[in-house]
Amino acid sequence: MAKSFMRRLKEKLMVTAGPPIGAVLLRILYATLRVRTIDKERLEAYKREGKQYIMAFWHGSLLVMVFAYVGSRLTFLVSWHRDGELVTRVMKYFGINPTRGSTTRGGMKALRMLLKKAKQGYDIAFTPDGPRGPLREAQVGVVQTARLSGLPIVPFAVAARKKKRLLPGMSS
Amino acid sequence: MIPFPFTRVVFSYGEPIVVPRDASDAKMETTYTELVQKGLEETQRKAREGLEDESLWKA
Repeated sequence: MAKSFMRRLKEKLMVTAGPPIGAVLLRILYATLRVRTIDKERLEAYKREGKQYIMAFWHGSLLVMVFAYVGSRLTFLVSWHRDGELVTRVMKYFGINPTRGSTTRGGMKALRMLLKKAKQGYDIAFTPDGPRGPLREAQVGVVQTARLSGLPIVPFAVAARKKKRLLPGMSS
Repeated sequence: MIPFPFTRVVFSYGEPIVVPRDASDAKMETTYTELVQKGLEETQRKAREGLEDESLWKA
């Protein structure tokens, strides 16, 4: 019983203290990086013209994507499992608005919520291979969201010379 | 993934893909999902090549 209490305390600590610390560490790390961009101009034009879009990227780029977004309001579809709670909290520190749900499980409800956010002027961040994979295999959810919202899908990717892979079987 | 500190990183933004409102379910499952797949692979390739493209790293 004492053990389960300790474990619960540890989990609680992870969820409350983890995200702000994680967000600060991520910012410090980012400040050290040498970053170049390819074809960013199109999205800068979108921003000037107030044009919304869906930013699509593989699940593995999520941590870096928060620095790459061009625009002023972004929502991200986050799944309901416990990792999702952590992701949600970290993203809030980067001004990213979470939408909870999944287009694979209970799809329609999540889709409707995303469309509502799109109507409110949000851009949408989408991992076409997430959250349950298979990794780097696009699923139809992002296409449905694009069709119903009328927003273009803009693929995004990140490469780093030296990196640590957090997910198995990823090439970058 | 997470980059190591002080390393080179490239962000690559790909060609937009527009899905017409009247696209059929079948076309969404195949044609457009494949376009997204290809678009992401192409964008990833450009990012990776950018790491070694020295013209990008001058200045």
